[in-house]
Amino acid sequence: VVSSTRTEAAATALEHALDEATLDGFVRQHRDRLIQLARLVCLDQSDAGDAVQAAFEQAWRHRAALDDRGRLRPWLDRIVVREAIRIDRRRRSPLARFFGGPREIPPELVDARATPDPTMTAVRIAYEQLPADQRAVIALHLHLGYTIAETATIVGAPLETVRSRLRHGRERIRQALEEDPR
Amino acid sequence: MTTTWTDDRLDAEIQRFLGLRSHDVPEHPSVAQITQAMRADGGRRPDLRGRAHRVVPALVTAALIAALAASLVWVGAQRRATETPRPSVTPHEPDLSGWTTFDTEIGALSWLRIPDRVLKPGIFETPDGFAAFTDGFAVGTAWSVDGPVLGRDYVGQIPVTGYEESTDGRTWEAAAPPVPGRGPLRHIRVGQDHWVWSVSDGTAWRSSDYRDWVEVDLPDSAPPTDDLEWGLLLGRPIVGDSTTVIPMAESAPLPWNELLGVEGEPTLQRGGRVVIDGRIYPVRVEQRGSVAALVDADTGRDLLALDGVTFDLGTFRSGLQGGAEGRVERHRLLVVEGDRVEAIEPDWAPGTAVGWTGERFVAVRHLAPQTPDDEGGGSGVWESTDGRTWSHLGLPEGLHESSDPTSELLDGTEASLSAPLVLIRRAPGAVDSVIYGSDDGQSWRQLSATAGAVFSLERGLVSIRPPDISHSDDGVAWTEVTTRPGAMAGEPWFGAPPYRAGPETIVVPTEPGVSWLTWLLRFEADR
Repeated sequence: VVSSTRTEAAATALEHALDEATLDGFVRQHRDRLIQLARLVCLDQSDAGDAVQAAFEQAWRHRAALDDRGRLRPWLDRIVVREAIRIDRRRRSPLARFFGGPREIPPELVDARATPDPTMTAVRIAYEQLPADQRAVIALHLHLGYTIAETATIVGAPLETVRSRLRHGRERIRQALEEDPR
Repeated sequence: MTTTWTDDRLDAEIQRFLGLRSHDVPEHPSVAQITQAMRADGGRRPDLRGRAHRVVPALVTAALIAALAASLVWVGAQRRATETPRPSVTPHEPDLSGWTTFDTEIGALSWLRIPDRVLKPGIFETPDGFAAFTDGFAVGTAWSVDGPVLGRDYVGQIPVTGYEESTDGRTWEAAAPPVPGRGPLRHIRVGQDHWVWSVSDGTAWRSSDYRDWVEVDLPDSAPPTDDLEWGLLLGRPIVGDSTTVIPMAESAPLPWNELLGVEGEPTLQRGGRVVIDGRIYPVRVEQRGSVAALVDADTGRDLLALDGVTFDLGTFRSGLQGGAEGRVERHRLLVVEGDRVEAIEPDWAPGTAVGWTGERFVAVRHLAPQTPDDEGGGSGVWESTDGRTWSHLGLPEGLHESSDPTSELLDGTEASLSAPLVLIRRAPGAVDSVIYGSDDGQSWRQLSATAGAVFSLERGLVSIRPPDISHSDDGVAWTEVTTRPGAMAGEPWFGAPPYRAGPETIVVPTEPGVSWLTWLLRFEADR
């Protein structure tokens, strides 16, 4: 687990985070992390931008509903993750596929020559084949450091469901690594 | 050997991967864009990406808005009809609803702004306006939409369908193709003539007026085996005194699942990896005499070996190309003299730039070595006076080696440039250009580099990268062409490289799928 999420110094800043005067600083503080998170879930740079944009707008509209300022970061992450999953599902819908909406894949993720590490390539291929909700729990738990319980709250799923998604995701990646003929 | 992945080790590798994927952050949406939308209380930023699933609802919304606007206009018109007429007001901004001509430092320049999705890809000028063969492969950008092949295929060919014509470039109508070709059709200008050919069966026609067509007797272009989906592509013609040469490529994708003998569709991963039944093989392609083999790069074991004799590839110069995404290819040169068309196989390899000095044809290839033993990397200079017989002059000097074969050899003499030959090098799908000049095709000097796509026009070289247009008389010094306000300035551009629609007409396309505007630029002849 990379880091804890509750130890951010956000709590003090949050007292002023969601008002007009400090809006730029608030967005600047969270934008990069949210885009990275959204991209890990929906695999698309442009869609990730859309998800983050939508998340910030939702956060702004519903800022009055946030009673626990110390929970701002997971609150934002929850909105972004759900938005990213929703966008991913919409993109994979028969209608979207019929119209063939172009899917932008960041070059460094496309070209195996840019990631010559075979382990990383195997992980990448397996990770990208996971359903978005499995990618979400992996990203939240293993990358952002949320506990299983926190992850369950963020994705809005029962604890066992999150454990199951995590287990299935890990197994798919493990299988890819074990079959990688390095 | 199978490695055991413990939970901790597995998590560490996943975390390492997730960290690698998070190392950079795109610029958009910017902080300013986000806060602007937030301050608008949830207002959405402009949807510049134009995905279809967003475009459809957007179109419905736009239709409703348009209906409302039309109603308002109608009501306004009814009211104005009863009012005293007012003097008309000259608009400050130019009218961009049709062709608008500006005087620039390099002469008159006409602009046409066209809504995206109206303009067909791969358009070309005809005596009656414009046309586009949209049945086949047109210039543009294509993506692998889904599935495990997450590749961005920017080679520039999009499968599209139909044939359409337009008198003004803005309104298009489906029409019957001008020739009775089967399957995908494509068009090129060969001097003053139009050529149209069928990609799939190699039949071709030519016309000087785009009305009366004569079938061209193209040399045999049959595939080496019936199993292959054969396609014919013609390159940019190079017009000499009495002879025109046209690079010709015939190719087919390899039917991997049949050749590999696996059930279902094997997954090819860009960059030399192949996934067969969920197992990943890093692969390389080896050419051993007449055998082209797809080799497991780790074990050295042949995954697939194509015997050139068995597969009748022996006469094909290239065998397998493109690594794991292999194709069978044959490259020849059409030599056109009047009505006579013949095909030769020159000594130089495919991807060689060919030009005309005013006296002779010159072919230049300047690729970096692929292996330590590959001296010169297939580089060379060849010359020919008749387009049929080519002499090897040696290696080009002064050209920076390139890893891609995309170059265009322009006729510097015609463009009144300081060098008889001008070489434009541009990476596939890119816009930036490096310009080299040469007197003899062997000794080269870099004249300049520009951030635009460079075209040789009557008035010299023009570099286009919206909203900037630059001009050069000598390929060395570039002058920005001032355009009137309201033209391309300020328009965001995500476009594919501009391409030529006619001798003096350039299309500046948007990225396919982006709901924005495409530009047609016509550099008028008068100066």
